[in-house]
Amino acid sequence: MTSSKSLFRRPLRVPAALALAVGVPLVALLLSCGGSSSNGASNGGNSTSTIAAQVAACEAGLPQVNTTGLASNEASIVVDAGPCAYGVPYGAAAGTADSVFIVGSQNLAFTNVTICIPGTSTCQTIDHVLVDTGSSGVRIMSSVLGSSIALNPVTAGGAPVIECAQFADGFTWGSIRSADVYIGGTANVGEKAANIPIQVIGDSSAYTTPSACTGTGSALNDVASFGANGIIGVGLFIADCATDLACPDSTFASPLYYLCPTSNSCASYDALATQQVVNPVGSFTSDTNGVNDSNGVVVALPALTVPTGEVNVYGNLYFGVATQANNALPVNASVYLADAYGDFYSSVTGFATGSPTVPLGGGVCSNSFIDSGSNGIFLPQSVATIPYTPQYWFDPSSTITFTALITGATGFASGSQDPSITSPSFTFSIADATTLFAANSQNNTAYSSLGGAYSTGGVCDSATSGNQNQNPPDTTSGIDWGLPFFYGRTIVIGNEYLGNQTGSPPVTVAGSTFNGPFWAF
Amino acid sequence: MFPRSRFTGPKRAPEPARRDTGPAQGLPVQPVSPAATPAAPAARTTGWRLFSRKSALVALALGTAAVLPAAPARAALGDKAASIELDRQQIRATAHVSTRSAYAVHELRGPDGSLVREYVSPAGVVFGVSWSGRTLPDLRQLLGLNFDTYTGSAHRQRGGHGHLIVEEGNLHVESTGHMRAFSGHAYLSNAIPSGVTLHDIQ
Repeated sequence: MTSSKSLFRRPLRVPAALALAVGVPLVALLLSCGGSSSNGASNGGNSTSTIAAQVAACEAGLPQVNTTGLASNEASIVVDAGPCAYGVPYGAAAGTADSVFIVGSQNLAFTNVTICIPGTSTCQTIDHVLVDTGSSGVRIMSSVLGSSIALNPVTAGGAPVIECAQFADGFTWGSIRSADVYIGGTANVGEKAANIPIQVIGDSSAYTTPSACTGTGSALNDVASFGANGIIGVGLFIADCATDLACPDSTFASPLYYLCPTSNSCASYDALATQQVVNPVGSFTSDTNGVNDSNGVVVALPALTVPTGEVNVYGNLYFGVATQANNALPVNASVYLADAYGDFYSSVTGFATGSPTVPLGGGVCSNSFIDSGSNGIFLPQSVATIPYTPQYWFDPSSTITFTALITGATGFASGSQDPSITSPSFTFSIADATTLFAANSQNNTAYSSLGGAYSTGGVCDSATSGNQNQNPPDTTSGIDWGLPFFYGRTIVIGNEYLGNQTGSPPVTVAGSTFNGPFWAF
Repeated sequence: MFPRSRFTGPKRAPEPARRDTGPAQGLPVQPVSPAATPAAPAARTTGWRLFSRKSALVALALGTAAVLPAAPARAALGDKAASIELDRQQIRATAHVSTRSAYAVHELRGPDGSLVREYVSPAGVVFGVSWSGRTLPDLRQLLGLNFDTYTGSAHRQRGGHGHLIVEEGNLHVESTGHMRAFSGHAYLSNAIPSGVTLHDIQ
């Protein structure tokens, strides 16, 4: 057993007076807590400015997305090793010294997001923001926001609203602040979400993180632990809690939103719809031609050609679904509805011709989802018996190519499409992760055949008939179609449309209306 | 110049599956008596009063939760079944207990619709927990003393932000899902009764 403090450093304590001031450049504070050299050896003699310079030098050497030659609703994305960080790498052994390092992402896609003080031209473009179709909302590390980006906090009764945003691997604690968010197009000003609530992660260490929040897992409050300079959640839902409604935090075992009148008195708070972190796409304003791209996004990544992986892979994120020529549904694509929780059905049915085989468990996995923020294809153990490493990455002796089906959910939104359409049979491959990670002197960052074991105890046995919209999904079984699923596909994410919101209009294709949330491919 | 963080495990010789069934730990499989299912605090008090000295001793010998004199301050996994009541109170849940041949399942349904299941061995020990809901549960409450092991372990697979498996000693924790739909489970491999498979914990 290792010390609990070694891997997930607590949010660095910031003097209350500083943290209370809006827009404190926490990068300087972050970097002041212990010196280091770039080789990871402890070196307490390094000054703050030296470390900051090292981070800057590291960032200067990173791949960057294209910023020119883009349509106004088009952003460039890159799958690479992620941003530079100072601190302790996620999962490092106890006693690991702080250092400057590249976070070492595998199969995660990043883009640029520009954050501005609302109504002004005081802006900062943040690189290596994780493109996540499994969450909703813009979240930026306070450590990378410059001091000039002084964003007003969202408050209630004079007290700041602070969020405990939750991910499967941990939580982020930070205040809700209002910002103009730009993304895509030349100079990254193609699309604008005006004055929306975003989360500034790690700016609230002066407010004691409630135990109900720290109890959800590990703190991911800095670049080193979170693995990105921020995250742009463009998945399915308009708000991260309850679209157009107050977030029912008081009913949650682990609330998302808190109101913090004083530094040690944060209490769960039913954040209003206008105070919740929102998917920026749903807030996009119309362009000068009246085109509004707020109804979803299209993710396009190329097929990978090298089985053992590639170094940096570039693709595109298009805003809007079927609003312009470049975001039309792909030819022969079908629409698969998601349920109220962002899930649908998946099943593994067999093997491609010539593939090695393994025992299959059969069954339909009702809590499946497509998530660019997951870096592999994660299969329940009950679905396929595949050898795996001690870290639960699959490591079959030869690559296995499976056949699979996806079926849309029913019951949440309504449209004119068949609500339970099943996809044509498609294939996906699982290779030996150990070989993948070791290939090309460990320089690869994109793998089309990376997968892992999931839900050791879960069973996929749900029938596809009937209404999946139970509250909540009660089984633990699903297939997580992570980034490998995106390579070589154009994946459409249709935002939820509940009929009573101004943004996110339904998608109309060839005379048929499609109400989100849905995926199409 | 700048090192890349990369934590991948050594290759393990392929095997069909690491576990299809829980490791046999030699725990006796006993029929779960009604007394082995923990009662609400009021009922527990009543139970004390109703038990004859002899029946109480028998119950204690069976390791039953209903007559444990003291409950830990918090927590469930690895603790006696009585600790489930603390979880129920914390979640503000309604409880339902069902008995299987080799274990009992306590289902706690929270006001937000979230579900926690706690799996109790015939010896009265919580050997597994699972959860699902719009938000994560308070895992410090559910995992008890194992929580710090969970957050502090270096033995982990993080599959981006949608997937996490931690295995440290006898503790195995999986956390999966995304905003609005999280699920997961945890178990202590050395506490799983014989006759119980990991597929039972879901």
